[in-house]
Amino acid sequence: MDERLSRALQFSNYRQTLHIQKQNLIQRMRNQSTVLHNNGMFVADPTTIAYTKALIDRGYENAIIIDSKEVPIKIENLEEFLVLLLDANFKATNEFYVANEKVRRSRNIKSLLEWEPEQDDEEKEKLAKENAGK
Amino acid sequence: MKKKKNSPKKTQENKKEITSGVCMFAYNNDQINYVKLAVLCALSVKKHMKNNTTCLITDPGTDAYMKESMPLHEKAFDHIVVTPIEKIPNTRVNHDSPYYTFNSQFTNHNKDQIFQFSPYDKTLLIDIDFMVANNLLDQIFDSNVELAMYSDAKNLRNDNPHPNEIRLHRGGINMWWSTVIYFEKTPYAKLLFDIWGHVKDNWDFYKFRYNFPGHMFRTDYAVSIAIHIMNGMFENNMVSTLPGTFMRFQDQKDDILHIHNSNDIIYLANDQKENWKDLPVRMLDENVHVMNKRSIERHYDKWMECVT
Repeated sequence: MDERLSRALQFSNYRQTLHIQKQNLIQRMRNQSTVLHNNGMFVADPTTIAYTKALIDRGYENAIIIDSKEVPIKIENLEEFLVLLLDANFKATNEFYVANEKVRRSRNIKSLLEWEPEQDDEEKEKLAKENAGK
Repeated sequence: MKKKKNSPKKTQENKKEITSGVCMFAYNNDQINYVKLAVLCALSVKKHMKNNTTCLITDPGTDAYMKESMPLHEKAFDHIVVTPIEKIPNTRVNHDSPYYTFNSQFTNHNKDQIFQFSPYDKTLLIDIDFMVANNLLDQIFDSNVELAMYSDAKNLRNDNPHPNEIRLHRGGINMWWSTVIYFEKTPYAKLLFDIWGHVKDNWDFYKFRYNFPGHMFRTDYAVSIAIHIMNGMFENNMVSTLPGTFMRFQDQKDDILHIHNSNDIIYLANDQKENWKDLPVRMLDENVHVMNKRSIERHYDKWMECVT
């Protein structure tokens, strides 16, 4: 195979793995952003956080908020609820940031996976010959 | 700022402790050692979840084999329900990579009886190949949801499953996965399991009526029909979705490459359209329905090391 094509395909494989890895990180972040409060399931996303803060700023102490399952939930203490949302959001986004930085710095599949497959004797010999030739 | 205390009133009912736990079925056959996988599955639950009381439902033969050859079962299971099982022929074609297939007996006819078998008030029923790697499902035990399952799934490449696993047939009803089922022991949940049993007893009729493919009895299809009937023959949100937007699954043609830890596994994801292509995919802290059971067996010892 043409060496240029071989390199291009190698890079293409790396990009695919990288893409899937990033999608998985986003999924993990979404899972971690889930907040369970008063039998309701909420997502600690900027919209929910901003809406809760807006209610507090308008002087409300409690309110009905629709959760992620479309169930109306009575939030007795909006301040407490906001703290929970922010905690979950900070935890999820911080972890996402750290993992994303790690993935971003990985320039090949090996470093993305932090794993190298074991080589059999034949492969090792071939690799040694190639290195000796260089 | 007013601070209301919403502690529940102490009544006679509240004094009774509500039990919660995770149940799984395992019936060995000549091809797959289900109970061996169940031990790994239960230990993964114990490692990663807070609601980690576990119950195995099995037949006398499998139970005797387990007690004889697997000392770790005592650590893995808190309860064991032994019940004789009627051997109803139900052959399943299993894949191990795109290049190897084998047939095995699939014993799943009594899954609808979990309502009677489960010793818990709040039960999470999981298949023995659903490998828990985080505590996400703990959330459902603290909610007011009575019945929850997954209706969406994605494979290791973030692709949708086969069209027959999204709808029962083109233009048919939504498919719900019976891999993970959460229920509380309420009349409402019992009704679903009763309808499921009725669908099972009249399988040929419902196969004709709902026009789904294949000859094997699939609990995914049975539960999807039961939900459709219970919903008043249309789609609504009577059954909740479990935490997380979808269920991740490893296809039977995929493999496992390496196990860093029980929550950090590198899989080999096969391309469904071009079977000669594979991609390595790393799954961190994510629950995965590992459908290729032989791939679990190949990495069993290392995986067990990580959960014990």
